Amino acid sequence: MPRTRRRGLRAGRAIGAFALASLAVAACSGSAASTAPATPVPSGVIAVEAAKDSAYSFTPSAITVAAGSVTFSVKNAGNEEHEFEVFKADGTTVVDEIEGLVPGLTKSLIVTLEPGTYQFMCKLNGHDQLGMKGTITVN
Amino acid sequence: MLATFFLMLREGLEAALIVGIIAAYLVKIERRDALPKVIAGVGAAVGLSVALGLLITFTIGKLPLVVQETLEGLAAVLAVGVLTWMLFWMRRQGRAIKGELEHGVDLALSIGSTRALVGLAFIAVIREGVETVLFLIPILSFNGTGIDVVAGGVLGLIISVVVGWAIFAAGVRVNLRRFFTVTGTVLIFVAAGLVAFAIAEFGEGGLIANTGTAFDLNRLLPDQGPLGSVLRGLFGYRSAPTPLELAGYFAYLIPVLFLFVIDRPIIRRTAVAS
Repeated sequence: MPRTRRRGLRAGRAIGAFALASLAVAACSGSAASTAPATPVPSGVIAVEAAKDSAYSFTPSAITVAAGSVTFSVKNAGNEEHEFEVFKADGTTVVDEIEGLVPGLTKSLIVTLEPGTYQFMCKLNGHDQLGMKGTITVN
Repeated sequence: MLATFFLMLREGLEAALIVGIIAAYLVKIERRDALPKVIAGVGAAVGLSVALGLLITFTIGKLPLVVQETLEGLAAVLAVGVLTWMLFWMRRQGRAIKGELEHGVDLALSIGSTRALVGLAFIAVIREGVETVLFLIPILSFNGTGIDVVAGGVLGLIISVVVGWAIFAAGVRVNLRRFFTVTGTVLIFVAAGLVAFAIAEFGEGGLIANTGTAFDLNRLLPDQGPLGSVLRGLFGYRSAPTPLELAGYFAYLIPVLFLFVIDRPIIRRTAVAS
């Protein structure tokens, strides 16, 4: 085997090992946390469950909250991936979003909301058209 | 488990496609020795993605939406630029190998060209890599995540790498002309898809107004579903594009396809005969 090819293979293996090691580190930090008991949602946080009442729904779908910094804790209670996107009243201007919400996962979103109405929905694969949306009234 | 599988698969597919094509191309122009540099570039992109993902998660937690969407849009624009350059450069090199250019062309991969190919592989991986890591960290560190969810994600990533390898293996086997025609066409569609993607990201970031729906195929073929993801990665398919995204897609696709395709044998034969 020519020297350059041997060096290339060795380099390739070393880099592959490094990449795997990096992922392993990330995974290990995860498994340490997995032994801790589940923490309840602290007050001041709005808990939303996706796909709980039906496959394409948000529970609750009508939220009222005081203006300022709002924390949403969104849990995927279904068996498909979902998103949680907060829009201004026009339904098209994005305020912020949660992506990659796989089944069983809970993710948080902190947004600053001024008084008015907002919408939230899952636009992934058009779920919003199947009813996966809601409104936020901020006063 | 299926959800994380497809999540990881669709993130990895586009990167795997580009890296597979670059690797096959290097073998075909007798430049296997440049492969370790590409592998190193991919490895560096993976490492940097993990580092950036961890840094973002454990410092600011999440990038502000405007920053995130703008960065993604810019990365996509950069990828389109490099991809377009690579398409026409590859085609020129391919013609030189076949001896179809009249004057001699220096076939040696100049340092600049090697860097560009490695750079493209790096960009392709880091674009998807950072997003993948930012998706993975919450999944891995959440105490309610079952082993099946993690396994699904790992499997999705592995299949992406396998697909990249399969593209490399197939590309190495076919003849040069077919290789350039097929990969060139696919890459044009990928780049057109990236143009639409950049428009979508700049729209979400609020930099441009990107409203309305040109058509909606989400009930038939959602672009984040199993088949749709593959079409999205390969051909830039979008199930519910806005008029602007659709316009951007074809504004790139049609001229570039035309320029790429007008290099037909009959034109060359005519030029040689005269």
